[in-house]
Amino acid sequence: MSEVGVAIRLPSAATAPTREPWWQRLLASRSGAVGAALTGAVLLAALAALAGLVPHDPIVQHPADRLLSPSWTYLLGTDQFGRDTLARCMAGAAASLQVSLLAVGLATVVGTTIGVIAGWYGGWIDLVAMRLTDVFFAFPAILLALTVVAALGRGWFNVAIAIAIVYTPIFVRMARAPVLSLREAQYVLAGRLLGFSVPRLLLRHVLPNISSIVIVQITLALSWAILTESSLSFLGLGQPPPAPSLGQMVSEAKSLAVVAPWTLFAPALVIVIAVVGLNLLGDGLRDALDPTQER
Amino acid sequence: MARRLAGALLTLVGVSLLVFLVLRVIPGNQITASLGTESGVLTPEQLASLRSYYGLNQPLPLQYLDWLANVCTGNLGLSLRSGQSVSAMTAASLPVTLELALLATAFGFVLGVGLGMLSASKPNGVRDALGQGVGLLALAIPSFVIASALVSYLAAKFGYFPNALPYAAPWEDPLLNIQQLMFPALVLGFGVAAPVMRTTRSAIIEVSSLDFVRTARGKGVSPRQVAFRHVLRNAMIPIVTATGIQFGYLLGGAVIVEQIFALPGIGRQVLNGILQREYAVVQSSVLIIAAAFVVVNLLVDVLYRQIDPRVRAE
Amino acid sequence: MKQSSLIRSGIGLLIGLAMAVTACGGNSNSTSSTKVGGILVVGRTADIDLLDPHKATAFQTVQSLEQIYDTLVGFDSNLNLIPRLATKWTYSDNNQTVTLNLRTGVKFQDGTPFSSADVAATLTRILDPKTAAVARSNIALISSVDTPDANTVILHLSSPNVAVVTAMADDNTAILSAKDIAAGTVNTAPNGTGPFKFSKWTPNQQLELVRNPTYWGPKPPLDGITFRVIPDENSVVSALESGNVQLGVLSDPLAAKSAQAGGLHIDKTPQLSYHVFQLNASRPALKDVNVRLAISCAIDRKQVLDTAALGEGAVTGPITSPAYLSDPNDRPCPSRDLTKAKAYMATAGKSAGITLDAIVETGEYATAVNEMQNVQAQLKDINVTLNIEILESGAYVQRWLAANFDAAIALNGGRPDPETMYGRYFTSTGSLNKVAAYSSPKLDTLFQQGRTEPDVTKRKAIYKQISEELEQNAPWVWMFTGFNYNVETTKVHGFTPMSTGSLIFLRETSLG
Repeated sequence: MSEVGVAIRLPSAATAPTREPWWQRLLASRSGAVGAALTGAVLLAALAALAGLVPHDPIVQHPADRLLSPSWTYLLGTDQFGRDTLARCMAGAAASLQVSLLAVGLATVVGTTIGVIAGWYGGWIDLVAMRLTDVFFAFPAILLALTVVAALGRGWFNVAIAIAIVYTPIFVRMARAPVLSLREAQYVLAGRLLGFSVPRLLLRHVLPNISSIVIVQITLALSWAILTESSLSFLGLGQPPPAPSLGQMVSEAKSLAVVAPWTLFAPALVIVIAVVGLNLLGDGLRDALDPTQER
Repeated sequence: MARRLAGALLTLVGVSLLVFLVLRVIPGNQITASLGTESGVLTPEQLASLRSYYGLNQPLPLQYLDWLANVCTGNLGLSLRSGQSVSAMTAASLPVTLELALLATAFGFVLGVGLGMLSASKPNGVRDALGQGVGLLALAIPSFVIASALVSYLAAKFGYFPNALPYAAPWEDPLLNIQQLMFPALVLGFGVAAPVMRTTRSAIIEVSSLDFVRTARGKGVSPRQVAFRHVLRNAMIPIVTATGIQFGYLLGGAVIVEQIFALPGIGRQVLNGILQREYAVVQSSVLIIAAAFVVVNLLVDVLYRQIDPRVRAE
Repeated sequence: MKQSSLIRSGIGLLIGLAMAVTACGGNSNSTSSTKVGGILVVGRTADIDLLDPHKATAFQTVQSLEQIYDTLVGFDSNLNLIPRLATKWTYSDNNQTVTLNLRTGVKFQDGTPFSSADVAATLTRILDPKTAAVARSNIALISSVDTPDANTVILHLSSPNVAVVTAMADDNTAILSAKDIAAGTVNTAPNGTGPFKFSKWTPNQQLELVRNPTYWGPKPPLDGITFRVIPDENSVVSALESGNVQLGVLSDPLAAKSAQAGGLHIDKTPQLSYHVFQLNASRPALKDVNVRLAISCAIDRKQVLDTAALGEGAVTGPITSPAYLSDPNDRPCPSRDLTKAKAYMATAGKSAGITLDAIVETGEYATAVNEMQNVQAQLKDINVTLNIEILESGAYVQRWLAANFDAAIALNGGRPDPETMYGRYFTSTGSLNKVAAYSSPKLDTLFQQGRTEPDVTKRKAIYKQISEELEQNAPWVWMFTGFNYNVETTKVHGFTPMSTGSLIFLRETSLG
């Protein structure tokens, strides 16, 4: 689990944005560039898989070609059912990203909304929200995820729900903190005095200012989601076969580590690249988006 | 302080409700879990008697209150299959996980602080890249890959797998105990090291830029002394709090490592309980883990307040 | 290069030191193959769940408890009945009465002498609905039990059924002491007449048994057996490689394959449980036998076995018990015949194709979903479309019991006696007939004949007919049986694996 405590520095409206756009800054920093590259590579592979641009069908079995080491026909070799490892890695990346994006998307929307509302209105709404997040935080994360999956049944959608449930409280906390101080910021007070409606204030003044924090957290959450999905697969509660998912591939390949190591290393490597890439991207975004943070 | 305790208690009640409800949503019950397809052979009378034995015929709110009342009096319930009390099971399994979590946290702390110091010594340089890179890798490789690979390799190459021997508590056979825990702690420690490294790095960078450090350097204090006595000591606060939080996460999060290394910890207890639909086991165990987590957080909070004079002034 | 080898030897040294310290009482080098002594450690992925043999359903529990308890009759490695606590059994009164002669001089592990009173108390307990005993339905036909003397038991059956005696080889009918039953200590203090007695149970870790010094049979060479829990199958293999475990019980073919690579000895025994593609003949789409036969002819069972289970198994017919084994070629299409299959579909008027809702379970055994996938692919060739629902165990069991499916991939438990194996499925009054979704007057008659025929040769002929009848009507598509894998280190001698997965011959096994 990544830490939640991110140092928040509030942007003041006075800093005029007369600098290069954020993505330039992102790519200029080393972690940003590497992170973007790695994440981009995984994303590309996933999209290719979704578009069907795979060397072989990831699900089709070729019993005659079982456990072949990497060759020109099968660039990353085949598994125990004669399925192409490369194709499965790509499809697995797509599946893992699909689950992670849905999960984190849900967590972001729900969590940020609750967090902003709790931070803005305060009072008992805030109290209830904080208590609820406390409850979810105290519940051991992986156990909560697997209990939810056991409850809802397997399938990528339910796995995504489980991960979303675990991650939502983090977004709640994370979105709430800056809102508490933003509420008293000069320009916001001005807006309130002028009688702007709450939704307008929230959407046009508060949200944009916490967006950088949220975006950074999204990348970190995605990396955690990918790891959690693979952990759930290992425990036998993740996405069920035959659709490949990275975690499930690694879990199956454990027994083959000696006989066919590529079946283990390939999906594990994809997981590592995705997680590393997302984390670096998050770091880079943190620097690129937050104009006042010094390095 | 009293407010915090009350808050903690409320949190635990919330956890109890959450776990109770989520468990009930899982299809199947203890009867189908233990008998599988054989449960279809039961006569209606047999089914009824099993249902009342498992307490399944009571209305849900009553089942919840029953269980909660028992917990408050120290009765954590029974594993209905084996007749063991959950308290006894937990008393055996919790210390295992605690020891594992402690060792993992200690290892993660040492590794994390080391890497963090390495990175922060020359920000944006090669050392920084190295430190951050290792930390990141430690985080990114799924724990069960490392664990599995380690077990397979050591057994195949050296015939070495101490966890295949019965688990030895530290007071029974300390040497075997350390051997059984050192590799799992290593694997889990990697996951702890990454966030600790980040916190260390940013804390050191921040502290290094403060005036008193410049003064020390100006006074001619050796770089080593500056690094440890001045910078690290003052950077410790966020580092320790981050480490403490990681320890809390490990209590429930060690289940995979416990599976692979056959450690009879509380994570496995919960997992088995979920698979066997042993409601009492899961509910009470999760509650215990949550309670431990809450206690750890409270302690870290208290520690933080004691150490940091600025916070104390609040 | 130099540095890595240095590091390697450094690690090796460290581990060597560690091993030297932990190496517990080493095994002496003896050339005798029936060396007496030593504790055999069995590694398996799950723990026993309780100590009461009458309630034990979990495989591991039965495997362990049958070392402690005896049954009236037992099986040899071919699943022929052999005497245990009953030395002789005779039928009379139109096969409705069974007279059992009991072994003399047997003692329970707590010293209590064994007698007919214990048998009577045991059977009463099993038959009592309140006990919720697993074997109750198997011996429900026992209407009363007489004990004319201490060494004789007479069973009166409400209707003749030869399988009742076979049912008493099942560990779920283990003979308990009448004293223990009355005291209610069965689930807390195991006390049997078997070759090993209970020593200690550390839940989720291990179960320790030691030799029973007053056992009535030949003295077991082993001092004791320890059943150790190692949740991950790969870790079991590692444990075997480290020598800390001497016998491993595996179910995953892949894990077994990796054990082979490690230089261990693997016993592969065809199981009694069978992988089957169940069809629900009560559903409109499957009511016509031609549709079912088409499906049966369109499936290449060997392909399913090869793709789903890596060829680790044997194609099978309905009956899997070695004594009554079905001939897998004794079916309308011994090998895949698409022409015939399409002809059947045409006869049924379904050449355009049908769609079936199929359920499969996940998480319980490794090959289920792969089997379903392969069957789905094969059935496409005759325009049969399967809509697959992958269900977690709890949900699957509910659907399966309610016969809420058109088709299902299942791994059903087999039994040594075909009557107990299929009587409850394919007779009109069977308790699981709903799930089987098929019966016929002919099958009812045949089953009735089978259960009342004491002559083994004649029985085999009857069950051959039943097997053919089942294949001709294709209510289910029987595919293959998997293997039980027992992996041993080279120290283990004299171990005989069983198709039931039972480890009962550990009483003859020796170490060293």
